[in-house]
Amino acid sequence: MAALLRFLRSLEHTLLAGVMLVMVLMYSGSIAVREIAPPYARYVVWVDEATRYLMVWLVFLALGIALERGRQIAMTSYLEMMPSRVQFVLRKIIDLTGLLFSLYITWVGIEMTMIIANTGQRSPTLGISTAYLYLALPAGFALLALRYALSLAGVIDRWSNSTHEGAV
Amino acid sequence: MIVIALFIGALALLFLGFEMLLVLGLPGILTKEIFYSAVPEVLYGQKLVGGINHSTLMAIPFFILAAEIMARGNIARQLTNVVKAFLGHHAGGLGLSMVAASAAFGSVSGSAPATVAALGRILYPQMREQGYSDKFSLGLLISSAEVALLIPPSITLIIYAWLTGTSVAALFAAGLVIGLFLSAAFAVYVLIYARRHGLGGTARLPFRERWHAVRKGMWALGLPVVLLGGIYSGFFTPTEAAAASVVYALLIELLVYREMKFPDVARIATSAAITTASIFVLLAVGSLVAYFITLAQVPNMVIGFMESIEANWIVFLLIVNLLFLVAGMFIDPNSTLLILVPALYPVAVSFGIDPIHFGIIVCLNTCIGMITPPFGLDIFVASSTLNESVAKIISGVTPFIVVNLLTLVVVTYVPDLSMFLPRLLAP
Amino acid sequence: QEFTARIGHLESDQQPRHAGLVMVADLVKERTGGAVAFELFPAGQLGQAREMNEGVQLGLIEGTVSPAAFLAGFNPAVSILDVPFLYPSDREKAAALRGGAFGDAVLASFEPLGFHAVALWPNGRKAMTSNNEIANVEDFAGQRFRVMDSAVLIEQFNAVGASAIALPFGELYTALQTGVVDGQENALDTIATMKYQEVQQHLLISEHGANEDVVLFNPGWWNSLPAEYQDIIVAAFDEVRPQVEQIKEAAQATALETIKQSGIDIVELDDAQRAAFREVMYGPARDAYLAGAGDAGKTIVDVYEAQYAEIVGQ
Ligand code: NA
Ligand code: NA
Repeated sequence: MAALLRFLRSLEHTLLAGVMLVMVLMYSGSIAVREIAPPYARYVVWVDEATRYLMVWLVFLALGIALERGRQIAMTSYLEMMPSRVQFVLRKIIDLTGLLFSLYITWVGIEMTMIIANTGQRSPTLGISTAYLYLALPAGFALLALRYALSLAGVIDRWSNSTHEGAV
Repeated sequence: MIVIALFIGALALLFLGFEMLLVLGLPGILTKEIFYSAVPEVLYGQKLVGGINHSTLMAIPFFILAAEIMARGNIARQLTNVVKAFLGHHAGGLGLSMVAASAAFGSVSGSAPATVAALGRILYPQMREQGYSDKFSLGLLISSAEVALLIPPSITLIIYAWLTGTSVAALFAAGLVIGLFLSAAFAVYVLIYARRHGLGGTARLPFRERWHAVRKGMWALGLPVVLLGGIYSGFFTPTEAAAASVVYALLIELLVYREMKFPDVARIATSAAITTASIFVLLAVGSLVAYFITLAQVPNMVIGFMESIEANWIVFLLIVNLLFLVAGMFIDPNSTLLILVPALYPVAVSFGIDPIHFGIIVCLNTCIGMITPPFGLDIFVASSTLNESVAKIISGVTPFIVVNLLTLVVVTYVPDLSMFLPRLLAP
Repeated sequence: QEFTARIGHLESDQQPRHAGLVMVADLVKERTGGAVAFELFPAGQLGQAREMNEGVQLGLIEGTVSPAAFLAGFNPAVSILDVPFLYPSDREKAAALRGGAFGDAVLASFEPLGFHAVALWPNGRKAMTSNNEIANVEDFAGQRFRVMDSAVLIEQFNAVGASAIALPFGELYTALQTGVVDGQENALDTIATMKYQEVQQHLLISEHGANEDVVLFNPGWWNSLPAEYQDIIVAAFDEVRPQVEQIKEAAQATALETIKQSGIDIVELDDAQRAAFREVMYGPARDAYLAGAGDAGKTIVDVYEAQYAEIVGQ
């Protein structure tokens, strides 16, 4: 279990860093092509769309790990003022709500992805199925649901580690 | 009735410490199930993805990454050394340089959140070090970034121009004046604060040491040159400048300063991705809420109300102010414009309000909406990039909201302030 | 009312498409005795073009009036409308193509894809602006033009040796001002509204591209209507079409006056010059279209070329 979680985390890390850096490279590369060799600019018109798709994937893929690290935005100052028993119960309620919410969105996301795959909608310049865009939604919310579930079960403590982990 | 219950429910979730994505998401789902049950569930999928699937939003992750690289590398330190060498001896010098840097950076980036993300990581630690309180520094950071939407180029003003058929050039001229006016208002507040708290006033540095700071910071100073030069010479658009600044920062840190290694870059990229996600997920769920406000035709209800009370132009502008401030609490700036302007603009014209003046009022209101609680996008950006609590930022920004509201009153009821430059340029 | 259609579109409520939709909504309300109501949402309030089109397909909204250029991802066959110099300059001849076998073939191509397309609406003709001379075909070589994401439009500029750059509409004004791109193509009223003349030096009234709107409804909603109401709606869109064109032409004429005041250099193509441009641009753009649109595209091109020869007499 712990080993599995570690593996998942390092996979998420690698994916996020990779997607982010690929976005930078592709996007700045297409500017360079346009400025240095304008006639070839038409071969990189798909870059805007590709970068945008990657950004959507980046955002959803990072949802789970953001929760685990206490980086999802919340106003917790009043929660922290309450007696510890009340805090404990409230946190479990939040975890449960978050779990149900993200499971529901995961389910809707799968439905959406399948419907779009069936309509045959394609992205205008990449030419790939738009379902690949929507697939980011269930993928990301499933990772978020997992973190809410782990927090609910007490496997991870997402409340006390709200720091920029990896700070140099 | 149900709407009020949903609103109170959302506030309760917020204060009980639920994640913001739940605070906006749960009422969003309930609204659909109660009022629009016939609409298929896939709506959630479309809006959550659609809320972030915009090309112009790409500037934000890029600037977050660039700032993160600079903050953890050498560039940020060198840049602030230069600023300190020249402004350190002035009372409030660092605060003033935050205002100036926001105006310059906001001007080119055109994005207030990107400005907060980029400058916060660099200047916020410096301000704390120099004795500014956390709250003041955070408040100054997010409010001085607002001018990004006013000082040209501004996508917000372009959207307004398109919606209403107003001249972009005239709006840009007016936006420049009001943007600088707002910056000046913040500068005055900084000076008052610095005097009261006895800030600044380190010894004035001799020329030789200033020159030394500039020489050491050359590569770091190259960044604004590349950014501004690249945009104004037509090398790239503001969004592309964001990606270019990442490349520049990486090259300098990896090849010139050479303290950063590739594993550091990967770690920084992951961290920037997480920061982006925590902000953008709010845009995603926020777009769901915005959609229902559109479907319910809320602006038309407000206009009906104004007709029923036979409002005059002063009352009208007051209602416009209130409407934008409330909308800005829940909806992202560009959606606010799309939803509200088409309904309000004809009324403004019928009251004889100049389209340029009205555009500036709308834009300034939108700016303020980004820093007002409970949903102020820039509050969350600061919270996420600087790892500070939302409550702390809100209490820090309160005096700045007062400054903003005073500015808004002046801009609203003194049309000449917005109009003189456009008139001068196109008589 | 028994039936309500939420109809979203991209233009602001100051523009001809919205004016036309208001007229249709009034006619439909009157002729169905108030049984069918159109709720209009202008200015992309319901989402971007792609989202609105998708929304019609999925039943999130009931209808949209979408520029053909935004529909290629849903129906590659519709990109025929992006092909330059598709319509003759003569408005009546163009209307015959739009309302005849060619128009019907385009509308029919949507049917298997989860849309019910009821009409093509004209939305003006495109002109080009640039910071460099663009009066002749040869002037285009080496220039950079902003286009929408469309293989056909990219090929249109490639055919004259220019480069096509895809940029978001909101960034175009600044990009023209700073010179990220040299020029752009849009209808005259769009140019005037966005004040591109403020940042451009040359205008070519080429009418090379037809801006065509496709009126789309969700098939589920459409089939829930009694046949009588369906006929009333289709008739209303057809009836209003000439008025929409008139409003658009008037808007373009007013826009041209506004643009003239900026002192921009203006060149208008005559028929012979248009023919010269068509000679260079039409073929490669049509081939790019055929490469993307497959058999459905081939059928439409055949119908088009036959009808064009008949009408224009070539
Ligand atoms: Na700006
Ligand atoms: Na707000």
